[in-house]
Amino acid sequence: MVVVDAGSSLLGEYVALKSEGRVMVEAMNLAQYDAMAVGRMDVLLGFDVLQERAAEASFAILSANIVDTETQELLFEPYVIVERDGVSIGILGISDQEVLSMPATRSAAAFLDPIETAQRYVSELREQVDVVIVLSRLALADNEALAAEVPGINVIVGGKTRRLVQEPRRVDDALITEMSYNGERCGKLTVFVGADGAPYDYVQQVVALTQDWPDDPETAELLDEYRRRYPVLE
Amino acid sequence: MRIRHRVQIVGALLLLAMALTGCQQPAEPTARVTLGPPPPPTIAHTATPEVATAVIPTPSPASATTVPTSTPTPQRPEQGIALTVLHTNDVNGYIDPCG
Repeated sequence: MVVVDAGSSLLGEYVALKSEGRVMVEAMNLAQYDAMAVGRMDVLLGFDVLQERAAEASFAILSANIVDTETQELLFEPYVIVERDGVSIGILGISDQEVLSMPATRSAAAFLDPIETAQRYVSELREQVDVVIVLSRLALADNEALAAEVPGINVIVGGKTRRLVQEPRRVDDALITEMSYNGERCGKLTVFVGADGAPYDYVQQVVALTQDWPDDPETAELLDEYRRRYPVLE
Repeated sequence: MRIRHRVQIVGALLLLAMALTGCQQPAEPTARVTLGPPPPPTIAHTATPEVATAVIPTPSPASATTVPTSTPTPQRPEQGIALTVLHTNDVNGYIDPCG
């Protein structure tokens, strides 16, 4: 199994913002995330702060299409390859142009075309891995275009549109899904990929993260510590 | 009242209920779609779908309604790759989404 986030998750709510994303990174470390994409809310405080969080994360923070305006070098890793039970999985991060819309990022970087970027890296990944997952900040319709124009993608995990995609959409050989927002739900998608790279079966469970679930003690302790450190002012 | 009008009202109410329940909404039953017959065997390895209990804890029996006990389990394929992707998005720093 891989655990991923399609981005815009580290900043926003009070404690997350006051801690500059540290609480989220530490919680995601405990939850053993493998990767996340860079989204608009993640760069609320600027690219420098996110790069600091990336150095502290035990998971990969990915964006294949944000580059330094002068050097044209990527600001974040484009992809990561993980191994699970003899299966190699390539996870690619694609950001949307909103990452440059924040006051802290407006002139700080350049944005590369997501389709061209995905075409380049997916073909590169397909030579090395068995499965390709794209964590995408594009809108749902744009993810459908991504799947249609970039062969070799198995799964696209999307965000941004805040849709709850209970039934993954299939475009060519890619399954596209998205799990609303604000941590209310997570999705558990199991996909079966044939020798030809096409999915021949899948099942997705939508898990509502309600109060019915007991807290992980270690994560609860972490959150309590951060709440004490950054109390909400009355 | 015309039948079409009734259907529209029911549909709108269902959508509103889904929008409002949010954190209280139980996990929807699994959507399972079989896209076609398995391909011929050419891949030597398979990956067993894993359940990471640390990420999806067992709910308390008295109140848990989020995960149906009859969740269908994917059939392990004889060939090909089975991979489970646990995914979230746009958490916006919500460390306690349901209060």
